[in-house]
Amino acid sequence: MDSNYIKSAGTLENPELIRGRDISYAKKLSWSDIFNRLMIIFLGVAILLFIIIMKSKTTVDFSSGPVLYLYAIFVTTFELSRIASAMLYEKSYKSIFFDANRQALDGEYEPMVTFVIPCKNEEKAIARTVYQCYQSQYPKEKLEIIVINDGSTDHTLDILQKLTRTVPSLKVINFIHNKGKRNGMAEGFKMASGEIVVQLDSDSYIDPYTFRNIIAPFQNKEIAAVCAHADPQNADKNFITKMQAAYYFMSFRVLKAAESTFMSVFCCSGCSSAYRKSMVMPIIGQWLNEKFLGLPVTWGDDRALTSWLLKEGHKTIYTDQVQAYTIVPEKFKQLLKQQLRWKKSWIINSIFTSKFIWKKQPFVAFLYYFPLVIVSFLTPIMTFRALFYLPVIKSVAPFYHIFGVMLITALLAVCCRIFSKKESHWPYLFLWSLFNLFILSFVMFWAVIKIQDRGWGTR
Amino acid sequence: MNLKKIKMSFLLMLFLLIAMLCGGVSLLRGNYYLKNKYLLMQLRFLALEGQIMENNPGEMGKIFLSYSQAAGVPLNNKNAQIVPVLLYHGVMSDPNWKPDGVNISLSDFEDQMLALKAAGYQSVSLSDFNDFMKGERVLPEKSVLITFDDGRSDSYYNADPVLRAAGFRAVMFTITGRSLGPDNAKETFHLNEDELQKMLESGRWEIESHTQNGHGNIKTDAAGDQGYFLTNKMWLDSENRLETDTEFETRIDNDLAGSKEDLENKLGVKVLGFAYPFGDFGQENSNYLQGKDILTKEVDSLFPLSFRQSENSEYPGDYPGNGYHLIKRLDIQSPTDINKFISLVGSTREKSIPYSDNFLRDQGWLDAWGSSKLSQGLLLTGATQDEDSSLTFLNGTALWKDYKMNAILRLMKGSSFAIVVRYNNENNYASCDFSDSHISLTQRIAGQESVVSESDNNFPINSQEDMNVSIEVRGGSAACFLNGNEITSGDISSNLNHGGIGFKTWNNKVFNSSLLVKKIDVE
Repeated sequence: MDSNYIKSAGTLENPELIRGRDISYAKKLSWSDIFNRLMIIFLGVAILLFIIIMKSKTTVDFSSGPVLYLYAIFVTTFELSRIASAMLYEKSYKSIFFDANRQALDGEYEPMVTFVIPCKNEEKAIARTVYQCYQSQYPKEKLEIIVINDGSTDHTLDILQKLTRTVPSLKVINFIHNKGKRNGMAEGFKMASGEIVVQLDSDSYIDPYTFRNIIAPFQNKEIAAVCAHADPQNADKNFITKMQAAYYFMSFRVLKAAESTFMSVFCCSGCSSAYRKSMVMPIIGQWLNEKFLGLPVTWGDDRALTSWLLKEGHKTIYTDQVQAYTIVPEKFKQLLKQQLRWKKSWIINSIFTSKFIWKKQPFVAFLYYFPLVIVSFLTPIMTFRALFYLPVIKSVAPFYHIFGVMLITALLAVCCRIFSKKESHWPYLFLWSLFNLFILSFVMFWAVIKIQDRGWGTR
Repeated sequence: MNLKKIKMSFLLMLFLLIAMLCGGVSLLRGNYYLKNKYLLMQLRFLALEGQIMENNPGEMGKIFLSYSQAAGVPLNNKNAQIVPVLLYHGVMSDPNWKPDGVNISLSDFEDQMLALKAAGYQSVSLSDFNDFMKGERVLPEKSVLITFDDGRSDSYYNADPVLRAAGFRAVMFTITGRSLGPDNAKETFHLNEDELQKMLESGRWEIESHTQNGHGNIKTDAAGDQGYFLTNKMWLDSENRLETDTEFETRIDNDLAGSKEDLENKLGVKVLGFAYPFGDFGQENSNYLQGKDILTKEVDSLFPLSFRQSENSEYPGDYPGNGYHLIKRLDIQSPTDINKFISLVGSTREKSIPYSDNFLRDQGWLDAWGSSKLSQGLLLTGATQDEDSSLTFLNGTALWKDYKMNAILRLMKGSSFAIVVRYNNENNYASCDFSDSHISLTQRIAGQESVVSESDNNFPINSQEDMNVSIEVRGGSAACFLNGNEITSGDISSNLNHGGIGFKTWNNKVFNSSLLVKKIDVE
């Protein structure tokens, strides 16, 4: 990493504030670092070998079961290809900052930025969120904050109105009745005076010292959206949050990074993403009026917005240089409801995206997106087969299946360790993996069955 | 790096992944060292080795040690005269397995091997055994030959760690059509070629022949009755007749020679031994009685050694001079009494003369038929419920030649008994028969019984008091004695020039003969 690249990282004087981010690229690697790195890579290779050995024991012969054989090879290749793609992420990210003639882009890019924060009944958190935005290491005169009060029944509106006195760049949009996040965001976009709109949740914020990095990629004229790296603020609360912390890190730094390698991130998280307003406005109407099977799409606003941008042929990326924090469910029931919503929104969105993605991005479509859709729909079925059908009907214990899943998880954990030595929740990735295997696979079935139920459950 | 280069790199990585997966899967599938069975074998071996290294041979080994240390068979013969041959089939590790009359449980097998080890036994290779039988090699007195039939996976994977921990070796008789046939890679019940190779490489196993495809049944008549492959003429459906003599011979020759070729070509071994499937060398029922001669002649010409199962009435061991063929093996399966097993193997060792037995300890009295029991220094032998006679003989006396046996005994039930000498098997022995107030010297040669000489006077048997009887054999003559007086004598056949001692009872009625022997002395 050259020093030009990290110039925009604000100051390096406060690295402690950057939890979990290993931003010390400029530091020369000591011998123990090299040794550690080699050991971890060696471990990764060993795990890969184990995966191959396991597959050789469990995969049927091609001649006796071609479908199962192809499925096994297909799924394993797909999962491993995510890691391969994630390994290419940094090179891809660097390339953004060079133009078509391999000239480095200016680096002096400081457009007007608007924060858009929809909220409902956030009297406790909203003030802090607004102040955090205001703290961003960026010229204050180029910052604007728009908060949409979406039919709050508590004192949110009062607090906001008080805040406008102390934070001059704060504007408040008030919906007397709840109109939903999508409408709130749309209003925010319309009213924004900034060239770049940063979208936050009412309980999330971006680390001020890394803020600049979310703006920097927009120098590249093709970029429509940038997704920050979000970690749970309440990660250490209990094992449920620790489990999610591990998953978030892996999901961003491996899975989203893998998508970002080809500059088509399919979901820029609504809790901390930035958009180029000029690319959003043309599609904002269609996005607002989106319907599925006759009913409006009530969640997955961020996913849908990203999809519309991709449909226009724009590029969307992820950056690990911007640290954002969000709040994750602390109770099991809350978590399940959230996951159910996310699965439903993914199902709806995948149908929508599949229709255009093969035209706009054939490489990504055939080598990633369609395989992803197939794997996502087949996995619950194969999980059911491994955990119920085979043990009950054929008396085959699911030992190998579970062990295989754990091996892949181990490989992902190793990757997480390579990407960041500070990320300490990686052991909980195995817990997430078990949770995903035994519970979330079947939530997928439920999501399909209940797809027309467009409620929120409880947030 | 621009996007195009990145896409190319990704495609390359993808291709590598698929190649690694597909290649790895097909290369490693069925890999011997990755099999669960193999890994389990290593674990079991380590566990057993730990057990042995702690000098903890188990209870049975200790008992056996005390046997041989106590007054018993004196170890004055430094070399083996007789070597017992053990036969096992499958070794079953499932704790829920029930005995099936063929296989042995893993725990029984472990007990037996560790007991043998603790008692100082060594296993011998087949080639050493062959040299021993040829008189070209001397073996330690406590030697045993361990064999397995059928080439089953469960024999190898379960038995090998035990053998390895005990430092033993074994012989595997394989059905080459199944283990070395074209589809052998898919074999799971029988061992396949790869596994047999690994067995040879371990140095603990010799692989020998158990036919090519002859371990089974063939149709023996139009009605569809079945009989063993090697000893029956096959019914040819297409011709609507039985095989001719020539066709039978060709079929047998092809199978036996084929199995030898399979082993020599595919495993590169020099084939020494053949084991008759089911132990049938033609003595069982057959629709072609002359087939036995053809079969045994063919086996003798192809294989230096051949093996069958021993009968109850035979000594469970073989010795030089007794031929290289139809060597007797002890067929061992669960349920098994470890004491009886140890007694059987130990008592096979050649006993020396002078010999005396006060029956305080069982020195190897085997029942050819009937049943015998040792209790409180007495041997009680007699017919069982279904029979009208009994014969018990002493293991380890097969090589005895010239001796005189004195016995103090009492006939408890019935009317007749005999003291037996030069016993080889139920069809070859000589005896002094005490029956109908007569004492006669008789011999049984190849199943034919004849009286050699008979007493002139009457000597009624008194079941209220002990009798002092003796029989002497020297060279070709034998004599019977009562209370120290010679009663009758005569010449016995030169075919009956060696053999051991035993006791026989018989009666017209079932379950009505029993003899109590109190002491014997042999000099």
